[in-house]
Amino acid sequence: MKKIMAICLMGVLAMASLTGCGGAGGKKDIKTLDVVWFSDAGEGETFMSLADEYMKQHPDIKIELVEVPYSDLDNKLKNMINGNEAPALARMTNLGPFQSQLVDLGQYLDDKNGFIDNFGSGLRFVYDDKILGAPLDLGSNGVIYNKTAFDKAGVAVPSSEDEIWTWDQWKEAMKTVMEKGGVKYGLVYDFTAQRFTTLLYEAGGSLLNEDMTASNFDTDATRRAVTFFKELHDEEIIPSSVWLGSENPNNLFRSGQVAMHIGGTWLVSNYKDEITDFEWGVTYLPKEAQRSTVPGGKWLCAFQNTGVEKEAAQFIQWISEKENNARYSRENNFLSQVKGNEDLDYAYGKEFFNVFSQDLAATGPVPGREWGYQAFTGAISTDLRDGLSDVLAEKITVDEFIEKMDQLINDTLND
Amino acid sequence: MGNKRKKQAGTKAVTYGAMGLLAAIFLIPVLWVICSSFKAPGELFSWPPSLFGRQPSLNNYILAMEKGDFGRYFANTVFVSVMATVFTICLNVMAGYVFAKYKFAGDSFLFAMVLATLMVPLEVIMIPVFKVIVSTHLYNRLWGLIVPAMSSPTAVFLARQYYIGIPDDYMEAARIDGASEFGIFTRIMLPLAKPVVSVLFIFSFMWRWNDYLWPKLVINSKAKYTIQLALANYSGEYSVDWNSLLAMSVISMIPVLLVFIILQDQIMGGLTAGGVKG
Repeated sequence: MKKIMAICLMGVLAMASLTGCGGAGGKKDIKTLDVVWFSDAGEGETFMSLADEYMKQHPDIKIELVEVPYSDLDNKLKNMINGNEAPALARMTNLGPFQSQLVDLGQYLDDKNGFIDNFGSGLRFVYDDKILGAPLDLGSNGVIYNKTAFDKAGVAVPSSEDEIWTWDQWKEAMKTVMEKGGVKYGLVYDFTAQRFTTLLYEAGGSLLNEDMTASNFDTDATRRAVTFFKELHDEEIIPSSVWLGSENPNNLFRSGQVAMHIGGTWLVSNYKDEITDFEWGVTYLPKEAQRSTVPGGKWLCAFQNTGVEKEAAQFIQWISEKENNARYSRENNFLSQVKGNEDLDYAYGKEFFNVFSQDLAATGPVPGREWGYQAFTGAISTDLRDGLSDVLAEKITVDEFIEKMDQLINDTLND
Repeated sequence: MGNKRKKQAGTKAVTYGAMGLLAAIFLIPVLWVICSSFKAPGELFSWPPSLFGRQPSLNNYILAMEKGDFGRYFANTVFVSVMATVFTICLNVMAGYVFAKYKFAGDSFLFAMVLATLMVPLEVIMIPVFKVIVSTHLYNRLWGLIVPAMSSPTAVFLARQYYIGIPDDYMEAARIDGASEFGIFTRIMLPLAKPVVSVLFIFSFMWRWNDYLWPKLVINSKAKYTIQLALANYSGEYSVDWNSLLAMSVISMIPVLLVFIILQDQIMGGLTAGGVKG
């Protein structure tokens, strides 16, 4: 028996070795664009089917996807640049560390202003008169709720902008659902600094002053936001396993054990297929001093020193065209920054996107401006997140945290 | 007498009970992965959890196979693991044999140097090795995964210790019979080292099969992905495609398991032999 298995295994190994040997020989006149990519759901597939279309129109271009897990994205890019093997393109969430490595698309485009004009407001992509990338997809933070649990508890979520909860009403509602709705927790909250700042902006606070030259962190609004966030943890409305452990909030919400999830637009395409045990929906973010969400999204950028900068820029221009962008956004439930694509006909969850859009429309300019300052947010977001964890674990007090963070923000700006 | 037997049976029960419990602690996560790989996406995180879900199916496997070119990743990984293992064994067992059986100027100094490299963790030499790989044009090639793995101080050390335990008389007898030095190694000493070769085979195969960090640095194109790289790509910024990940993890366990089953008698023998003679 063992002998037969050994022979079979050797056979398989030998065959596999042969196929492994076959290298890909390419014609020299074909230019390859490597695209470093990460996927949350099916967006990689949509991107490749668009790329296939582009390759049909341009037989001299070959587009290849280099997929990486999101957590390795920045490292992989740094590593490739160090090895003089920078990719032609990358889907990015954090331009800060790479600004000096990115191609100024304006140099390669015939109509620079036309390209800029193609996009509405949202993600910033022009820095110092350089176009460092194209906004590929947009998202914003929002609340998903477990409809089955809310119905069971007899609690109604706000159904219009007139009924939006204040923080206290929101907290009471979650407590009631915990008591009567058959769920263990009221809320899960994504473990990121960006998601936390939703509360900061709602409380009327901000990270920076108006002209983004100094910290505005040491304010009563910040104190209110951090204290409220700590209360939610202390009263076990939010399970501490997310911010003080390594529990994935998506998984917790999917188990049906949680009433609400503060995440964002991207959750819709996630939860669409993955939740079958209960009904869920989207409602308005609560308010304190004001309403606010935080816009976010991804850029498609080109890298310098690849020898295909022009081809990369042309592809970016093509995929940013209205119809192509619409297809990409519609199939993957993204909001779009391309003009004319503000109101897409999503195959699923159109009513959810109405709520997200209203939250976004009610948001002032501050969140987008601050999170658009990528060199800054990239430098402080880990400290902000970990500092909040320390507050929750009672390693430092709220005041100590705010003072320390205020100092750090100023130091970062001075650098 | 009867009491003694009862006592023995009692001790046995306790020992087996403890061993069973330990085995269960190690096995439950693996079994859970296997069971979960048959669940529908909506049931993966259902509360209360169930073993197989309401309608166990092979959908996850089928979908994951359709989504990625898993056959290719599998073939790449097998190619890398087998080639790296074969070269590791050839080179290092020979080196260990030389250090154990031949006297030459500076032999102990050289061996000390080999041992010294054991003290340097991979993370420290990663950047220099990466630069070598780039300048020798092995970047983004499967050979870039194989070549750096070929020499292993651990393997040299194990082989040397093993050969020290084998009497020189074998070599002398062979020399009298007219065997060449290389013939002595291939015909007599290598077959004698079967336990240590098996141990090295299984370790090297496992290391290469499960390696993630190095392939992540060296490999770029999707066509050259190893299984571990492909598995890691199931996690995005906001979500993880647990269903595909589970199904493919189960498949990726099989080859290592097969290698272990085939070589397990040898590896057990090899480990105890090393223990006695080391």
